[in-house]
Amino acid sequence: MKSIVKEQFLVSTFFTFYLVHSSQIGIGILSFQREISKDAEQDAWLSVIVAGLSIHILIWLIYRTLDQKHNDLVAVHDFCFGQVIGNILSILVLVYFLLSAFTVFRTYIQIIQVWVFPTIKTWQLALVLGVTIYYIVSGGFRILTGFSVWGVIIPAFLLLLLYFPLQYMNPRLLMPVFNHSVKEILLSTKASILLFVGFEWIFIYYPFIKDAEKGQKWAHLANGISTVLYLFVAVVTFMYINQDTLQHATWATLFMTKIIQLPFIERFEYIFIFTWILVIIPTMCLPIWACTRILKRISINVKPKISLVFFILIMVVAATFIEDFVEVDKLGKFISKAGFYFLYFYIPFIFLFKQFRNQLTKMLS
Amino acid sequence: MMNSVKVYKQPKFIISIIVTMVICLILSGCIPRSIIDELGITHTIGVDAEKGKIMATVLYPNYTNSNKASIIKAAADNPATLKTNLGQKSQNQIVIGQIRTFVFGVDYSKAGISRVVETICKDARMGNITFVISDSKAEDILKGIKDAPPLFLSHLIETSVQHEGIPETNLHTLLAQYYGSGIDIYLPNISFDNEKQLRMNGLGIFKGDKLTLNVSNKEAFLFKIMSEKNKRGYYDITLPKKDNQKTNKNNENQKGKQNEKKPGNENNFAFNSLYGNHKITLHKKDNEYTVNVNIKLNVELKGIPESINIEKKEDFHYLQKSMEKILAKDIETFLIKLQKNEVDPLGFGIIYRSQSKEWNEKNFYKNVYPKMKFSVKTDLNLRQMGVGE
Repeated sequence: MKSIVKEQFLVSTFFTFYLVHSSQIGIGILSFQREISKDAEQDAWLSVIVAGLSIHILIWLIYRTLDQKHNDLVAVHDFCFGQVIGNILSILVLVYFLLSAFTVFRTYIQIIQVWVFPTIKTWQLALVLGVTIYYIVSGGFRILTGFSVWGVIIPAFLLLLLYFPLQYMNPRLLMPVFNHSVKEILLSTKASILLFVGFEWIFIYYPFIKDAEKGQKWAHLANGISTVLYLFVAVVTFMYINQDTLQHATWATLFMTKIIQLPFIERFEYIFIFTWILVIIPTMCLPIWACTRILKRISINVKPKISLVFFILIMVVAATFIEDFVEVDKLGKFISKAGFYFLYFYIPFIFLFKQFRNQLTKMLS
Repeated sequence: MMNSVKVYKQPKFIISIIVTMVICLILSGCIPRSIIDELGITHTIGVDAEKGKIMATVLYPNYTNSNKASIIKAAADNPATLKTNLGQKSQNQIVIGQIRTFVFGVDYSKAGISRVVETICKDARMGNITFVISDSKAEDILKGIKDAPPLFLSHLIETSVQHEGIPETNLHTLLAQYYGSGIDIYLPNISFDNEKQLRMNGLGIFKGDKLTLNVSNKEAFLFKIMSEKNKRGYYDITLPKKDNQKTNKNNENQKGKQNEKKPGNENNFAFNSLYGNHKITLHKKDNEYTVNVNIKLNVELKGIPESINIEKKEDFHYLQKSMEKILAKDIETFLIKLQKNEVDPLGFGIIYRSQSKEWNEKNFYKNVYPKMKFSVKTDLNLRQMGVGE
């Protein structure tokens, strides 16, 4: 059951770049330095490279899994496992997507509460964000693509901001290089995988891209640029904050922006936090859109307008149930684990299974 | 969607704009508001130890009633309660987001500053503040600057750091030195002189979180040229007498003048450091570590002794060499002083750590650091000497 999308809903091939890049850059860049340097310490930048390279392989696998006939994950599931099991698997993937959107949603609320408005209630922010998400997602995929352009432009400005901490950097903090075992570097790699999560939504929006198979090079480029961005931020952080202090800085990137003091803005981090919502919105909206799409595609065939309201309600209600920072932390850890298994086990598995199934059909016919 | 783009009908368009504006108005009412006149925006805060409690003194400008600043004082067992206790004494809500300067009183810094650093400095609402210590109680400092303009203290520190050779410190450097291993905390010191004028008075150097050593302004400048990119500042040098007299023979006619008692020391003069660079490296030879300090400075000479005729190549050379020698000697003495006091504000530990596979802070400061040798090389480029000769 191929997914057919009308010509007027398609986006150009090169938009794959914006979609992939903006879905990879999100809330993670504000706080990833501490997580990734827990094991490999000053060598953790190496882990970012390793993780980035491994994602290239996964992108390649995704583009090999999808083809003209089975052009999204639901179709692949149906083809490989039949309708019933296929639908169940699709719903599991839906849950994973919804959870990853929810993690970003809740963590951003947490950041606003910690940094800016300590007395604001979770449901207030959740409601405002929920309405925003509804508004954007109901606009359809083309609107989402347009929004994801912001997710590319604003992180690029982050590079300019890094000039300020660069003045205080000490290159000695990166040394000695390669002082950690392979195991430690791999553990840090595992921690940095969460940064790159988001590209797997290609599985769903693939049919919405014109000449989608040609978009692969754009996806690789987007991932490459994400890797460079993360690498750059990580290296600057490691030179700016020593490893011992880094373990005390939960939001290291925000901590770094504290050093920026302009004559007209004393506290730059506030501006930074609120601008970042434009970067975060694609990482919340794309997976929710993907969820509605999955529900539409599987046999139940729920209308996206209805399922969208349902998903946002779930998020808003669930957000209020997570009360303290420990739970937010747990949520982040859980989604990081789930993402790891989805990327490194499920994607290769579905790729291999599809190859196997292809061979099987060939042999039978 | 895209094929159904309609030209908006006028009334609908206007209604949607009105709805948007109303939403904007309503939503902005949701957040807790802070009216600037009703806040006690603190600029300076001082912390002292008193009777086993932490005592804080805050200074905040009172814009509504008069132009005078208000002082509030409160004591508590922990920094968080401290803020409430302060707030309970103020007519306005005390906010800490605009604090520029944090003064640690002498008792508190000697007792250990960890509690305040760990609680207050981690507060997200804190900006990038400057920390200083004082020779007296922080309370006295704050009382002394009560009549000065609101940002007096932070401007004083800022100018001293930019132009007068005081090393730069801020929240970032403090936290990096506090949590980081291989470096010790240093903070500028302020105190009142006999005339009751506030002045920068060297550096206070900590071991762990306790103040252990005070160094003078002169040494603070040496510290600055060894640690920072900004090398602005004056350093005064007294040329040795014996050598001076040798060159004096050439200027026999000036000798009469010299015998008269003039204020100041004839052989003492200052150079103004303009820019330069520093390089600190660590070398290991037969289990003995040597720190090589290389300093290059471009300087402007100010008021050199009359006995020196700068246009003469011989004198010029003599002046340059003796200045270099004196500077190098002073730096070495300073480094040995730091070593004797077992403090490491320059971060030799970080250098050691970056060059060795294993790092053990205790081991380094117990076995390696006390045995380190220092070798200082200075290179002065006498670039300018003002107009007119």
